[in-house]
Amino acid sequence: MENKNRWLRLDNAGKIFPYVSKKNFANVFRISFYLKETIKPDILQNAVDDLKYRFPTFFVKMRTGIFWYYYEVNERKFEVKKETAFLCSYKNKNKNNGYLLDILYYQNRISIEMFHAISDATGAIELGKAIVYRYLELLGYKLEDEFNEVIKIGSEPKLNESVDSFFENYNGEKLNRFKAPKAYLIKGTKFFAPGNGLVVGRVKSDELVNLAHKYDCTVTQFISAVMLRSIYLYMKRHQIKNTLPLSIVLPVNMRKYYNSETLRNFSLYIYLIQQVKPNLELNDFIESIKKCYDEQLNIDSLQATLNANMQIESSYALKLCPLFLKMLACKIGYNKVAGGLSTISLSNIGLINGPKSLLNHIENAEFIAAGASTSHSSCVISCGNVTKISITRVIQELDIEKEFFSYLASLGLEVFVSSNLWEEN
Amino acid sequence: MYCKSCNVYVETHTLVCPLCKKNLIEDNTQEVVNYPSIKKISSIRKLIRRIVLAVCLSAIIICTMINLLTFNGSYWTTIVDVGCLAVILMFQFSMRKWVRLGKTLFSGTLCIIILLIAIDMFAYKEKVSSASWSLNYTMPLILAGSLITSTVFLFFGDLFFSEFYNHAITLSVLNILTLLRINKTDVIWPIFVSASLGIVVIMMMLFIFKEKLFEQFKRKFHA
Repeated sequence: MENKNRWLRLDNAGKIFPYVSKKNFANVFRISFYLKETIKPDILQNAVDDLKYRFPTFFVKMRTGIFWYYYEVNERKFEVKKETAFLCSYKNKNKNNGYLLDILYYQNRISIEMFHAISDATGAIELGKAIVYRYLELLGYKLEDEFNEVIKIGSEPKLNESVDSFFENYNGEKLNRFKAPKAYLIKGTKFFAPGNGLVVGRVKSDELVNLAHKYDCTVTQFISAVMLRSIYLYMKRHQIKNTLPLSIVLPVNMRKYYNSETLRNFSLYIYLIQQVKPNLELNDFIESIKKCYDEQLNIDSLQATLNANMQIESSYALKLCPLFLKMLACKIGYNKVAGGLSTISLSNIGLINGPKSLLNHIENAEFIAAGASTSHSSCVISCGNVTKISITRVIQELDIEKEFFSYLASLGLEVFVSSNLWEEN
Repeated sequence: MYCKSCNVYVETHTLVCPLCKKNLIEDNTQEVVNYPSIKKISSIRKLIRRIVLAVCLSAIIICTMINLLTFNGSYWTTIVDVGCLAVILMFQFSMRKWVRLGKTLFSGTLCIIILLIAIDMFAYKEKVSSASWSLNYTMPLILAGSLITSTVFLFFGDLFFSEFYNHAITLSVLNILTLLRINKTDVIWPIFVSASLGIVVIMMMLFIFKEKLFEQFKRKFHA
């Protein structure tokens, strides 16, 4: 986004979010960094001000066009804020000086809450690392970054960081994409106070990896299997009659498949599906998940999904359809189709990389996504030897969380649980 | 704290397990205040909005009842109704601070215009053109004033240009459209002021802000 021509089209994945987002389906996620000391708000504000122009694709405002939304550079003041109880709250484009992200502080935590239309978690992590790095620099710490792992003040924004990688890698071929079936949806009692209930479990990364290897699978596969098992047992315990499969929607970071450096959205999804049968054990779930991985997590299948998504966007009918009609169609269509395809979402951002001098100041990190109106959201992030698994929900019942964390504990992991106790409000 | 039932350590400051709600056993786990709790925010803004809404709705209901019960051929209550609705709408927009300044100004102007039309339609039993101050004087001058304000913001840089240019164009067109009333009134100077101002702003857009305007259209149409 050059200075002279400061506007930007929304990327392919980001285009859907402004149409479907609302207060109880915010499509907002949060990345938090826990430092070893209490946050000083004025220093944090300076750090953000210093970096604002280095990340032009984040500090934008969304404007309404005739056919699509678009972004413009936002020159209004950006203010860091103290965290409130409402985590991952809906980002209204007419509030917060038009910004679609918040940078928050609370005790020793710096958090970035972002509307998904701007970027995905990988992009947000880069912004977060840069802010924490600058913040520590301003506090007077001497940090070293030998391998340029953090974006720093003074460097110019790169063109590669603001490209729409979906568009760049679209090859126009019509391929058969995987079509997810309708999935079982968890039902429960809505919260009295609108918001997200959150439970976070903290475990040691090395213990979790060893446990996953014991079951001959990756950490994401293992956590997915435990999650599916928890939902399965919840159904069984409550004698819920259901013929629909259990399904986890799993975002896939496409950057490594296409060698992309973009800081905007570049994720696709795969579905981990388990048909409901009597007497399923953890190994059965792991086998099903591995099968889904084999079917969907390959470049051909991902390219087919990417092409299909791009073909929808490229169709003349959609291009010429006015924005208000698109909004109407998306609101109806998304709820009817995409809303019922997954029982739960699980996003594993993996291990946070960075220079040792920076990581030495970070105790751990947290990754939270706003609970969808129809399902729970779970996120996993590792920093150092700490892995945090968060589960957000919009219902009062905690059966799945209880089943999930107590099962991890029963497998030998030491699980430390924290919660925002939203059900007590 | 430790939960015997779930086999997990609890770091949140609570006496019961956040998962199973059973009592916790004390141990050496460090308790931390992880997340801020809900504080009841005394939202003065919300209260004021509710009071305004209540007063306006009451005024609408009471006036409509009185008008209907003592009906003498005139629907004078329409002025009160439109006026109250205009207040509610303007109040709603003006609460949104600077980020929607252009929209606030534009919607405020539209509300007043609708109110003026209502006054003209229902205030006079016998229509005398020179007495129709609302459309003869106030409407063109309000439109002109609003257009001048929007146009001034165009000079304040790209940030304001992108927010005000579309309102400036629409207001210019509305100003020019006041010419349609030229045959219906004896008072023509406000109409000339308003219309000529509209033409001047359109010309200014085309000659002074041509590049910026073209750029904005490009964005709007995704060209």
